[in-house]
Amino acid sequence: MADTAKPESSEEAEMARETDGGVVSARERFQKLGDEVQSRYKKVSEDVRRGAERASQEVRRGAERAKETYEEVAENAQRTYQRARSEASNLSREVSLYVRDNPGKALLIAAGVGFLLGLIARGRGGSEEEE
Amino acid sequence: MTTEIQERESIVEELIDEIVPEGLDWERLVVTYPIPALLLAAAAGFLLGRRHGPQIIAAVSGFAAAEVSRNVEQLLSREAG
Repeated sequence: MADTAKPESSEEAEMARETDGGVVSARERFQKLGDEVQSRYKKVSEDVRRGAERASQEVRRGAERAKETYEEVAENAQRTYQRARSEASNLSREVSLYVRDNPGKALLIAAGVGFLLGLIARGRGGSEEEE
Repeated sequence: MTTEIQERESIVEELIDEIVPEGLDWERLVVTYPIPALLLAAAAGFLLGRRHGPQIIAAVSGFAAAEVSRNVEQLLSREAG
């Protein structure tokens, strides 16, 4: 009885040792895998952070550029408007002066220009009607 | 040269005096409101050209042709006489 029990217990001990070894090995592997996952996660999160920073910088730069362009365009438009307004005002003043000096001539010229435009408009309307 | 221009201006003013209603001081109105007066004249010209443009041109060219032929006849008769 004791002969048969001894080898069994040694087998069990062997099995237990093997199991312990397997557990330790599995734990080590898990540990290694965990470390690897953690390092990869850190790397990926670092990459994502860097990418986000770069994207944020690009967006900021783009916004600044757009703001500068907008300001430039607005300034140009304002300058052009002021110039056009001043020129229109000058022209109006000159026309008024000319009309005050030569009222009959100015009226006749205006009526003549209108007459010619009317003739042209009539011609165009007539040709369209004919078509 | 100056008198010729003045004569032309007076012709223009006479023509306008004939066109506008009597008693209307058009010169004062034009001097007071120059831009509206110009716009009004241009609008009147436009409507006239659009509605009666060819008739007016025919009448003016007929008048001009008659004047030219009258002057030529006068010249010829003067030379013949």
